[in-house]
Amino acid sequence: MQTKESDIIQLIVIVTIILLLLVSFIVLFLFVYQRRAYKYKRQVQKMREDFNNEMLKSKIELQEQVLNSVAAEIHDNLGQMLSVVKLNLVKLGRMVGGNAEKETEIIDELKVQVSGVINDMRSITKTLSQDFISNFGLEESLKIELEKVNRTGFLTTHLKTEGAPYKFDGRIQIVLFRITQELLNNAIKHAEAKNLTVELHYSPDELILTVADDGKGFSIGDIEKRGAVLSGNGLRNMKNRVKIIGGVLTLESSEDTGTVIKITAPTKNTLLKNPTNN
Amino acid sequence: MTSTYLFSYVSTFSVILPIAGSLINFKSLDNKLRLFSIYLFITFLKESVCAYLAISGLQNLHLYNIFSIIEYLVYFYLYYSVFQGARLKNIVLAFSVITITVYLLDILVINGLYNFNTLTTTVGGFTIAVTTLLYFYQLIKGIEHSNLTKVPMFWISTGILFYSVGTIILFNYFQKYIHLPPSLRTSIWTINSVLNILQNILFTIGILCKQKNRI
Repeated sequence: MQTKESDIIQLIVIVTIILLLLVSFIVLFLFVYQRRAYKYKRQVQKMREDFNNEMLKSKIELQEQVLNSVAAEIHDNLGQMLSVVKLNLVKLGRMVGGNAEKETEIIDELKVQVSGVINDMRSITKTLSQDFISNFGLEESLKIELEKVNRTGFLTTHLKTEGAPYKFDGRIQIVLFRITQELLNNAIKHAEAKNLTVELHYSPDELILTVADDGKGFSIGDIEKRGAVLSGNGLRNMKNRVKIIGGVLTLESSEDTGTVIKITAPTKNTLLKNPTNN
Repeated sequence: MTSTYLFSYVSTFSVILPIAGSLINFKSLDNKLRLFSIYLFITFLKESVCAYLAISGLQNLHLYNIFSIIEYLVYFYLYYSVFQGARLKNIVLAFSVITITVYLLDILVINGLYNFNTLTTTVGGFTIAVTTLLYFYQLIKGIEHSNLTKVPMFWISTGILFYSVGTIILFNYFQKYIHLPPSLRTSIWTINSVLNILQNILFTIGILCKQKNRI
């Protein structure tokens, strides 16, 4: 009887211990496996993000190269040809002289128009060229771009600067400038804005670029739901470009007050990182 | 007081630990864990009444039998809430139906209300153990958490798994050793006490490690 009782107790204790060891092993395995799996997942995610960033960087670089080539072509070929046309018009004016008043008047008008085209072309080549933006700086480039938009009469633009301007990484300046160009385009094409203000706030470590318009605005919720675009390249693209330069883009928009886009970009020490800085 | 009895008393009132934890951390608990805290409080009340009845020399087994189904259903509800995907939820529903059916059979036909419901505790323990393993499977598959020590349900599930697997043999053989001399019977019941203490410690850790959106 005593043996049978002790057998039962032994059986219960041994089986329970075995089961508990098994449970301990399962829990330990889960703990270790989950930790490794999570680490692996994060690595894959990071690699994917890095890859996307590299792709976007290459895309931006390629785009800038194309724009540079276009600017050079316009400046060197089209610009030269227009200068020749202008010279010929001057020659023609001298040949006609004062004998034909009406013809002289038309020639003068043509000279003015050709000069206008040459000026516009120069202005376009400046803002297309990466070198110009890098050499003249963000503020100067924006000034030219805003004046160009002002001349179209579609939009009245203003540029405000706070803090003491300083030079920083040329690549960051180009990204900020291209985004501003895109926002100007959006303000005219989609927002139907009448006024637009660009504000540059220089602080020692960062630059805050704010672009505010008084256009139609939109619901941010709808945009995010649709993963939608503000224009051709889209809000997401802009955010990604800002992310690449280590900045943050925030957006406020409502149908009553228009749209405000604020980009905070780091500028501290960036001059040292880039050998092509101006 | 022998160490066996000491374990038994500590086990009975060890549920105070997770209750205290939930009172301290109540604000950061979500609805599921708040419900779990209420369940723990009811457990404390049950344990107190059962301890009083035992001291008074009265039968308390029927209270344990009634409470066992509540315990299983609370656990099943908890897992039903945290499972993602219809398949796992359906398995929990099926387990609930099986456990309730077995419980009714046990109470009405096999053991009755005043005998230890071995069938219910065995089937309930087994289904709950499988459910916690399914939750672990979900954790592995999802890989959403950077650190499992910050996930309350990980600790709670570990506690439930240890207790349900560790007591499954003990409960299953209850009818075999109930007739043993009281000293032996109480000694073997220490397994239950130790596992219950361990379970409540793990519940406490789970409740105190609660962070938002981490369940």
